[in-house]
Amino acid sequence: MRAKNTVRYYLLVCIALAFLFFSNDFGLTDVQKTALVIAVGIDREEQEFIVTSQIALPKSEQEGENTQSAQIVSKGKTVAEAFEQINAKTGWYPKLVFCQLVVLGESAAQKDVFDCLNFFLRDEYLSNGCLLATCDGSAQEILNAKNPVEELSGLAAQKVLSPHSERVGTVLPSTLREFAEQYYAEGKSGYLPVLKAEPPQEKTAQSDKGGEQGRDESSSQEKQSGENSQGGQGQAGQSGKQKQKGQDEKKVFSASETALFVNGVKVGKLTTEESKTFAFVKSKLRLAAYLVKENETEYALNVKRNTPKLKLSIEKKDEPVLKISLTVTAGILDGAKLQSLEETADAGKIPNGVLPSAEEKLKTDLIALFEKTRTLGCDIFECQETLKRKNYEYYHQLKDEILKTVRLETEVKFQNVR
Amino acid sequence: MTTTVQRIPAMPKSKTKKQEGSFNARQLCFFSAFIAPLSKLLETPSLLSQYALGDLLLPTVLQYLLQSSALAVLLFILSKTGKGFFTLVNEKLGNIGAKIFYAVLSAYFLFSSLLPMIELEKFSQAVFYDTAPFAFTFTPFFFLSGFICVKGLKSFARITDICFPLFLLSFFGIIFMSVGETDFESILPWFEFPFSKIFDAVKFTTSHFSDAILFLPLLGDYRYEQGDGKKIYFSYWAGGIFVLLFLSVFYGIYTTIAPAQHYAFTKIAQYFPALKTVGRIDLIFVYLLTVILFFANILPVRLCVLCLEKTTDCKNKIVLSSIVNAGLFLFVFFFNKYQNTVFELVTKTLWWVFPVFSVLLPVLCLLLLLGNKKPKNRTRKNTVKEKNYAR
Repeated sequence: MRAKNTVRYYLLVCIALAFLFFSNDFGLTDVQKTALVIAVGIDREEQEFIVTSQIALPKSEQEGENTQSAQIVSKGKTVAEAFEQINAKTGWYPKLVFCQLVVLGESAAQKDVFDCLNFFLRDEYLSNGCLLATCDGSAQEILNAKNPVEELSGLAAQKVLSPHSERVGTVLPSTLREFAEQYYAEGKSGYLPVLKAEPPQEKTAQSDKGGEQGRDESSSQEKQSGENSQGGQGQAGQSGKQKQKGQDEKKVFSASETALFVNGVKVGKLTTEESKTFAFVKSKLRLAAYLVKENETEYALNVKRNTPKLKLSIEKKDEPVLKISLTVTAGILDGAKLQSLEETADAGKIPNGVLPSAEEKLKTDLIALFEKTRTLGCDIFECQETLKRKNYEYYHQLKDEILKTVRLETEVKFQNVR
Repeated sequence: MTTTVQRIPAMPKSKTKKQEGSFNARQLCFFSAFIAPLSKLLETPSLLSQYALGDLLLPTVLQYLLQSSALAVLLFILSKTGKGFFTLVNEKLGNIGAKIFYAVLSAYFLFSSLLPMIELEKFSQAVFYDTAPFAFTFTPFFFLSGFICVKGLKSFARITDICFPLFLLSFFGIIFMSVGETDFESILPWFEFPFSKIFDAVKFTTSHFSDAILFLPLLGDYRYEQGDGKKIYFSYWAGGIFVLLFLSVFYGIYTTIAPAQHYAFTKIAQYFPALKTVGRIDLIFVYLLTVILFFANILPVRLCVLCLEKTTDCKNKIVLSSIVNAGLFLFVFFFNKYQNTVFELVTKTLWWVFPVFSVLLPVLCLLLLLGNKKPKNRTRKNTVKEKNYAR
């Protein structure tokens, strides 16, 4: 009986305590006072950090808008101090648990980026899996850009840096955790995608002509309206100009270029082609397109799978040799010229010479890419790390000069998917 | 015609006392394999990475070798004497000597639970709360601890039966979610660091690995049977293998930034691709492991109360439990801001206390064998025969 009563008393006390705690919502901050930061941009101005926080503001359906964002720009000697300014300026408490993107501006990338990234690494509430990118220009401008795809530019940028983009080889995304591991690894080298805001329509000769016609029409209408009213612009011309202006304001993001970092400082950039070549080594490609020229005709191959293997061995006279073996399974996706019906009916047939040309092209691109990284001193092929893991006996002897002295051997094989 | 029913008199109850210990072999095995490893999955991975980086498996293996050897000694003593440790200690040390022994042991158990309590409090705040709550929200833990300390050890033994499926489900759940992101080659090269660094890693993590001494009171009234020693020993190593697997996965995910990743088992599964779509379902496994972690941290407190009971001959467990748990509550309440100080004190200044109690003391228990007659071989068949005879 005594034991039963003891159990009951304890249960009652636990229930009472649970009631007390639940009524306080575990001390959660009121949602109305919470700033849900979904993207952060960091720029640098001398000794200060400029933090641009993109905050999601949910709106009710009655107001007719789904989601809006507010952009708060704050400064501080540290990133944490800059975040505190959000609370000081707006009364909102910034919450980083929903932040999935951190963009480093060009000014921030010119000095050790971990001066600002350290805050995010230390924060227990921010996931280390958040996306990291850099940009040309300021991160504030990138986050300010309006996007036709998404209301929030941060979300639009995240779509461009998605795992799907990685699989099709258009982007080399990186997360905070991966970049930090590269920074603290032996090579101290890393890479980040370069976010760019571009107009949604690429300029072509036809669009230029259409633009000229539009401008001529608007100028003639202006003359007419100028005759009718003094000093004013024609309404038609005005609306045409406004329409053009609206289209110019909205920009789409791309991240096909890749910035290279050594010791947290940006040292160079890989072009779109070079980034695609590196994707063959680093990413797991699925349904990636690869352009090859054969007999004056461009063909697009559909890469179904890639199997990269990197092996570092120490040959005679302690010469390090890095062997990159790539096996790519691909099929024909498209050709610049019309193919015969028989050729297209047999979906597995690739025109003669296309696969060998692809092999040759990729091999050449790979060697050029490696030489570029060697010149920049950026060890993105992880020669030092591999030397330490697999050939530790040579590590102390070769670690400082390995990037300069390593000899590259490449073996590329394209095989038909069928 | 009347029929009379003859009442058959009831069989008299056996007067022989049912001598069963608090734990049976199965429950001790479950404790070794599924509860003891939990205390190594919280802060220990980041600590080991800090001292040994990729070589973190080596100090772990050394720790398990030490502790399993001490455990083997304790099991050997039981196998030779056939008596529980409480009986042996009382017989050999006498009344006063035994009381001193239990008092020292209770002080050790209390000391050994200080750092884990603070770590647990910090962990629950960091993982389960968005902001620092205004009240001391860790208070209910001490009510749970107080309640368990009042119950007999048999209740804790039953807890091990419950923890067995919980551990397997949640541990392998988070490992499954983590394996995709793991680079197992990151623990290479082996033996990168000199032995002095490995020894430092062993020294400064010894407070987290001192398990052998926990078995001494658990085996206090244990009835040893042939084959139990091997089962318990290998179960302890099974727990060790779980820890080694976890450490490999942890370091494989975080590599060079592993030293900064506290509360390891909450972090390794968060990169599973499906979580972006379905949400953080890995937290279900984290909660289950946290429940087991609570029991793992409460056990030293329970053993402290048990030893105090034997020291003071006080039968009122409620009073003893209240005093011990109130003391721990006050300690955590006032000292949770000084976690670094407590950490330095326990792991760096007083690190030697743990090997003295967890390794040296079991070895010294071999002296309890002196003058003891070797009992007849207790096998399972003999046990069954004895039970039938007792009926």
